[in-house]
Amino acid sequence: MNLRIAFALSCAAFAAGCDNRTLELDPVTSPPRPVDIHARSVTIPVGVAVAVQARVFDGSDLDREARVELAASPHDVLGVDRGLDRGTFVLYGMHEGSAKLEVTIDGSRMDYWSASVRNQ
Amino acid sequence: MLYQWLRFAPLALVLAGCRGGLSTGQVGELGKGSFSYKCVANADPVCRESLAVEPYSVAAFFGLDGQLPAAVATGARFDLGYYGAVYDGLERLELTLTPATSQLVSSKGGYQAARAGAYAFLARSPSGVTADFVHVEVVDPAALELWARGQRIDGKLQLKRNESVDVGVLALGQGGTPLAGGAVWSWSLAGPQVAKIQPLANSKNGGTTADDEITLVAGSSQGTAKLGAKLGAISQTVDIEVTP
Repeated sequence: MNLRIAFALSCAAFAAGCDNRTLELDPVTSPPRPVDIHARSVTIPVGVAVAVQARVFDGSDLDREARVELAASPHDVLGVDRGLDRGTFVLYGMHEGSAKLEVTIDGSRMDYWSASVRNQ
Repeated sequence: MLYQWLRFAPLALVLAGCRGGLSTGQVGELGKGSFSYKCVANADPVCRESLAVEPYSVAAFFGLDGQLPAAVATGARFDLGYYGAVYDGLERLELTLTPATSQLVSSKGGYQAARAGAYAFLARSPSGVTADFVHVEVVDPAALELWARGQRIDGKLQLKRNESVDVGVLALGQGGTPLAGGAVWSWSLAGPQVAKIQPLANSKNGGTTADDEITLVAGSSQGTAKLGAKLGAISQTVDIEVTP
């Protein structure tokens, strides 16, 4: 029984560890107030929108085929909409507060980014 | 004198057609369509009916060249339109314009921002696709200017007895940028009863004395008075002199 649990845990760890893809969000518009997008963190003023291009890296290699989905929770702090161009998203500050940005790549939830919507 | 007024005619036609209509539009930040400014109130200086304010002096700030206004006054009402045939694959998207924040921008009877800032308006589908967006700068009014006969009133406005003149007011932000948006103005006339304030003469849209333009009508006796305009805590006063 213990062996089964250990095997299951090691499988889970392997499964999690074997996918070392990372996400970058690169702004493609110039917002009128500063927006900070760093590794795993977004800070945006309330009322401001920025379009970003999502790029997935597998190690140092760009994965052009990866399908990215972004979702924010709660839904009323940071707005996240899909853009029309492949891999683009529009992020916007809805209400001041904190949120999480859920990153899903190729259907698997990969990561959480922290998001902060602050006063202008 | 006639020539002086005729040179404003093309712009005046644009201005006259603007109220309730749309400017030609500004391309969105994602380049998928264009956004246009629309007046929702008679008191919006972008859609003036008189030539009290020289049109060319504000054209660049009010987006009469096709862009959105440079800035809208805090608390003033305005509207935007979006034009673009946008497809997501083969599906044509039904887009509605939505402010990025409902915390600070109300959508009742046009848009109205509660405080100064830059506010995004999204052309968005019900399925959560934002095709395009644009930002509108909202600025606290810092000063007012009164205008008549196409010139800023520099301290004193003279009228002859029984003469009428249209007077307009402009709200300016810090740095002197004229501000768009329909606000609630209050006008006052203090001193001897040598003139009176009336809704703008010949207003096509039923002007009131809470608009940004009024008609000042001189009486039959000469004398002086003070004409004031007020917007929130900002006010401006000029002297009125009625001459024989």
